[in-house]
Amino acid sequence: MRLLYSFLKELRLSTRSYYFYLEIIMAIIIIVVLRYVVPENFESSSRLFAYVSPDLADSISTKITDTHTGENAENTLILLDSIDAVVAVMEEDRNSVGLTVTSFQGSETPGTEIEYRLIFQGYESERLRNIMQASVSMIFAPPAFTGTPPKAAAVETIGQRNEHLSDRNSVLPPVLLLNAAFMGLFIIAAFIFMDKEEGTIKAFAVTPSHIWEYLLGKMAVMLLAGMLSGLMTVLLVAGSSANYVLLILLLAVSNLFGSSLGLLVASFFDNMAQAMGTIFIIIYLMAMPAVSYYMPAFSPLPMRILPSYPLLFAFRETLLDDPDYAMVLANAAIFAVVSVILFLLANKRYKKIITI
Amino acid sequence: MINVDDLWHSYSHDKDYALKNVSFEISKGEALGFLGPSGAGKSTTQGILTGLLPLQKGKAVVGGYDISKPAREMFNRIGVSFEQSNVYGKLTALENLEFYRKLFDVPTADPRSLLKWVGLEKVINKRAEEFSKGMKHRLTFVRSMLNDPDIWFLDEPTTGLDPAIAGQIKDIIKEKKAGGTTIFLTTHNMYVADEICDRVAFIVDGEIKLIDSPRNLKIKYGERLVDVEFIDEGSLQQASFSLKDEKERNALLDVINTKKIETMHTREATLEQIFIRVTGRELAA
Repeated sequence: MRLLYSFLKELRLSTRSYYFYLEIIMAIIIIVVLRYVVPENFESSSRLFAYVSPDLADSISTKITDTHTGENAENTLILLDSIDAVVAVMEEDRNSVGLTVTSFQGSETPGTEIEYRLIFQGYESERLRNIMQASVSMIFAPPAFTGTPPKAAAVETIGQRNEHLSDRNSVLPPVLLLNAAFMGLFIIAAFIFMDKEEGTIKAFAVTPSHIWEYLLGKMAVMLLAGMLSGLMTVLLVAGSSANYVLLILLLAVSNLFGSSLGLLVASFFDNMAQAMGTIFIIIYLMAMPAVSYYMPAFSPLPMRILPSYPLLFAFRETLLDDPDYAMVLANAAIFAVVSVILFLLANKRYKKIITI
Repeated sequence: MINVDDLWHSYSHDKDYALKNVSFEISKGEALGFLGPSGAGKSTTQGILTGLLPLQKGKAVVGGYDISKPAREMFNRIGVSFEQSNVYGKLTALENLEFYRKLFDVPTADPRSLLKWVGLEKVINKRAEEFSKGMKHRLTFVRSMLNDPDIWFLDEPTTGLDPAIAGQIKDIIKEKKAGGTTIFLTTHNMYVADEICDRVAFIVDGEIKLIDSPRNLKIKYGERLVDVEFIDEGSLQQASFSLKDEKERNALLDVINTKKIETMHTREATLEQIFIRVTGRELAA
């Protein structure tokens, strides 16, 4: 019962402090951004604005337009009347490329030899520029292989699981990790420092209650806030496509991991100003695997050994139609054990540091 | 109720002791005042006896519980009032007491009655963060009474309070003492100690220099003089007579029998004067 009273007291204290609402407000901001700003899927094809000089032979003009208006055309071609018009439209549409095709000035047969110019925005990678250049070159000078197009073509992947999240939903795992799981690390430390400042830990220590009841009361509030913000975010962004049983389990263990780590960290400092540096370093470190999450090709060992790395991918699984149950459950079990160990260490520390 | 034997404590875990060979005992229903200047070791002693500081060396038993391994049940029987107010600022006065009372396994006092006792009945639903220093101190004080403790640790219970409130607090302590509560009071206020305590211990630099009742100390260290103002041949006269000297005692009797007495006072040494005389230090230091 004392644990319940401790939880209710912490809940009352939390709801009267802005730290508690920090997590919820962040969740609301994320929901609004993801639902109303971030598209379901980002456009993968860019528009190609082109100017084809009217003094070119009709056969050349037709070839250019045919190449870019087919069903499988990667880029949408929009023909414009002048080079100035191409530049002007490109300034409006930053996801576009420009192409001008004019008659080669030094040609002995005007209108039959061409000169083209690709216009980029400036932010494109060298690789993209080369691909575009090669693509345009092939329009005008296709390689002569067999002389006939292939009869069949196929694309295969070596991974067995190739289910993809929409671009919007793929933002959710890092959000869940940082807002629902690790925000508690910062907030629980803030609550501990508030108690230290007020001296209420000492008053608690001279009652028949155990320190673990005091600590668990705080963790329970963090769990409630984490679950609330996490479930709210997923429900309003991903809807019914998530596996909520796995999600709740993973949210719970990751939140307990974050808050028990926060308790342990806070036990080494007297106030927030002293602890701020360490807490930020931990949160930044935990955020680092997001790089590997978005660029799987970059997954060096230091990144993979961070606890947030497997959590990110486990969160991703909970959002898939066909999640890898074994992977999520294994992660949940490991983090549950680690959380218990961290909590026991924190409990030992607080027994030692609560003095006059 | 409290037995302390050869207590030593060092915050730095070396030879720099905050407490040295501290020994005393307190009987049931007795009030012992720990009198000493700041940094003398008063709060350290209370910290060890309430389990807030580890027992490093020596032996201490509180209410039958060995402090080297304090059982949580012990806290059902003790109450601790801290020198620095330590209540939840975000909770109201009533919520503070309601929360703490639920942590005990024994019957507890009604928070509203306690708040009324210290004049906080009109602000029970006000958050403690809006309280004045004195109000917070009173809230901290009554919280220590929630479980109706057998053994009551009071650290500077009247410090910083206005005289009226301080008087109220002293009356409550006296009432509890009369009801059989054992009291361990740490203070540097000699008047509070004199008024409440059956015995006082003078502690300086972590060492107890002397333990005795205020009365005995005054008898032992006081000058035992009587100051008299009387009318002699139409004019006001003043004289002091030593009660130790037979001639002066007779002279005093003569004045009483033959003159008109205006005022007469015994001149006893205060605890502060005795403290300075015994320890060579001032209490306020």
